[in-house]
Amino acid sequence: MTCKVFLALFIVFIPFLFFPSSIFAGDVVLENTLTLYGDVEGFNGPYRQSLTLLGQEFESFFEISKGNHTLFEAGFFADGQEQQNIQFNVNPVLSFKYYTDTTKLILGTLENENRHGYLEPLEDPLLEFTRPIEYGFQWKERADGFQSDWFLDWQDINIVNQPEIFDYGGVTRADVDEHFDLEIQFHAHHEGGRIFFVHVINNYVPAVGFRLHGSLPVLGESSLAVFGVLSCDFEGQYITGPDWGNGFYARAGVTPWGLFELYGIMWNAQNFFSQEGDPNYSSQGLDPNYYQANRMYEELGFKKEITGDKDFLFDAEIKSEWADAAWALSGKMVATVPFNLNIPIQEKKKDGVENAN
Amino acid sequence: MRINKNWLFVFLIVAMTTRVHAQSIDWMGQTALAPTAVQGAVEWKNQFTFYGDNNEFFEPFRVRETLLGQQFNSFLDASVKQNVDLWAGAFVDHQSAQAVTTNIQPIFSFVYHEGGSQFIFGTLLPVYRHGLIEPMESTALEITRPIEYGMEFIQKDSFINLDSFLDWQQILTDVNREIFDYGGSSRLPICGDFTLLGQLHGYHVGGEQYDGIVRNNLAGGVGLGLDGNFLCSSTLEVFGLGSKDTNRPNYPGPAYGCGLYTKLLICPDHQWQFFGISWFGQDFESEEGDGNYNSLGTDGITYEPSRTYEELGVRRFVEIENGVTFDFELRSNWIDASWGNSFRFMAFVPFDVTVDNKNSKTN
Repeated sequence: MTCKVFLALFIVFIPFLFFPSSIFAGDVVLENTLTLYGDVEGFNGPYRQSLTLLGQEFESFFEISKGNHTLFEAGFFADGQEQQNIQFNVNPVLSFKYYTDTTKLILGTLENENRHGYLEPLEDPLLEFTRPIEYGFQWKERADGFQSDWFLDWQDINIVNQPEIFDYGGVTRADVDEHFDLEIQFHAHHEGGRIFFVHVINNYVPAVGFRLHGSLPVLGESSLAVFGVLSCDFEGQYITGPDWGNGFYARAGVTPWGLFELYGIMWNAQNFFSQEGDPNYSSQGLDPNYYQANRMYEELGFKKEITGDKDFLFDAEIKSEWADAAWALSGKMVATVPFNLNIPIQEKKKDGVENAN
Repeated sequence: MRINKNWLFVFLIVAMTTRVHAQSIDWMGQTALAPTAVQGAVEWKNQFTFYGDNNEFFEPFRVRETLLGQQFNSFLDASVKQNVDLWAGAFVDHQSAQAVTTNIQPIFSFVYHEGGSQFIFGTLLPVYRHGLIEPMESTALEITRPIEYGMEFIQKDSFINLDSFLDWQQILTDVNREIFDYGGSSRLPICGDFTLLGQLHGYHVGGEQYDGIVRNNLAGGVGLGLDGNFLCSSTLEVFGLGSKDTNRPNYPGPAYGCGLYTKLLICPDHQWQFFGISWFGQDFESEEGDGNYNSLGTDGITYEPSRTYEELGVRRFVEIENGVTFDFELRSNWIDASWGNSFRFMAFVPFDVTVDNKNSKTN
């Protein structure tokens, strides 16, 4: 989106700031979040290229409550990579949310923090920076012992020489007891469209597994996640291997003395390919002619999160990676600073009477 | 598009509609007067629309497509005189995708209103396609062309419900022909439960200043409506329609065509609406009508003189709270001998603010 559109959006929303204070008496919040990020991907091998991302994101939107079950959000999201001649990519934030105590249904801009909870083989963690905003619809459920997040994210519309592209799926977790959860994940990627004839491809990746978590002496908060993952790719970009593949994913983490998380990931796969997954987990390289049917990948990392009573979040991670016989060092750093302003506005009722809040 | 995405859509919609409390509201698809500001007041009007529309048609008459996005119109409605309002603001349309152009258009209107009459000059905010039925204007236009520019006259009283308009789509330049469409719908109660119905839609491409093609498409007809109490509340509408298409390059059909349109609406509890449509067409062609009713295919080559089309559907339109409404429609379509399906959901969220209370007076 160009700066012209950003300017237009700004003009649309600027009246909020200049209206007489007498009309401010309701349930409107201006939510702002500034995120500064840096990510270094050390691998420059057959599966992914080394990459350094350094930039900032700024999200600002009005959250307007319409009652006890509905609200909508309107604003913008800007993302700019650090450089002298910085250019911001601006996207609108437009969401309609219907909610109860346990359910949230969303149309428009989605809530996609932590990549909906996906494992790395299903969705690349890099997408948190390269696709921070998604549009479509979403169903989130959070009840005692159960949480779920299912969505459809529309990425590209079907125009001449461009297929429609969307991905969809979700994560559902059920607590068996205090320390043991069962979890299913599913991610699909589709390219197609019939308005302009384009080749149709589909990639499906389901996963099922469990998570053990609890506090251990000295080791602190500890966790173990074990998943079996399948992949199927029909007439997709996975052109070298067979349609079906599988993988075994395990992640263990401890927090010694509560200082930081020390974690390890182990991955063993055969003919696995996920369109939006971390390429280090795939059998096919960047060059489709490069292909390893049996794949091994290990990761050992330190992770430290510092949070200040909703004032800020600082997240730093450094990891050592082994992809087959190659080794690399990667890391990332993210600082998030939210700041919200209450802007109560009186909404006019249908009969002309102001809402009393 | 694969079936799995459709089921995900349907699942979300059913989940949403079963959790809200349905209320009886005006949802019969008839045109309405635009709300105006309280006399002497300035109101800031906003409406957010979240839409999804998908059809799975494989016949050559209507493009198979999916629309998913958000629209937002925001304008100041200033009551400058007793019967005169001015609108000024902007309309934003954003299709759900990572890299798309957000469409922004101005809203500037002069509105004269008196009793049940309203004249709008400038930006039009049409409701239910000015009351035009599907063969005259495709329902997709509610999403793809939610605002229009031109003029509109609406009369809504016990004698007649009328919505007539002129919508200027493209001005004449040395590279573009001028394009506009015009027409309207009317409902005239005649006796008892019977209503006389009228429809007209014209589409013009031309311009004299520069040489180029001049062509016209005109479709219209009259019908009869019958309101009854079958299964609580029901409506039967029958239209006889005619069309005339002139100067369309390489048009394979005759200039004149006709069709018979029948629609039955049943509202068993004022919360759900079940409907069925039957259509028989003969060389019928309406430029902006639903392609499934036309004899000419979207490729401009395919031509079927005799057309049949049937539709069965269910619609649920609920007010969730404080003017927030949710509209869901699921349809089964029979296009000649083949079958298709389609659905739509739209959430409307109004948010109006009185800007200047000090000067406001009651009517």
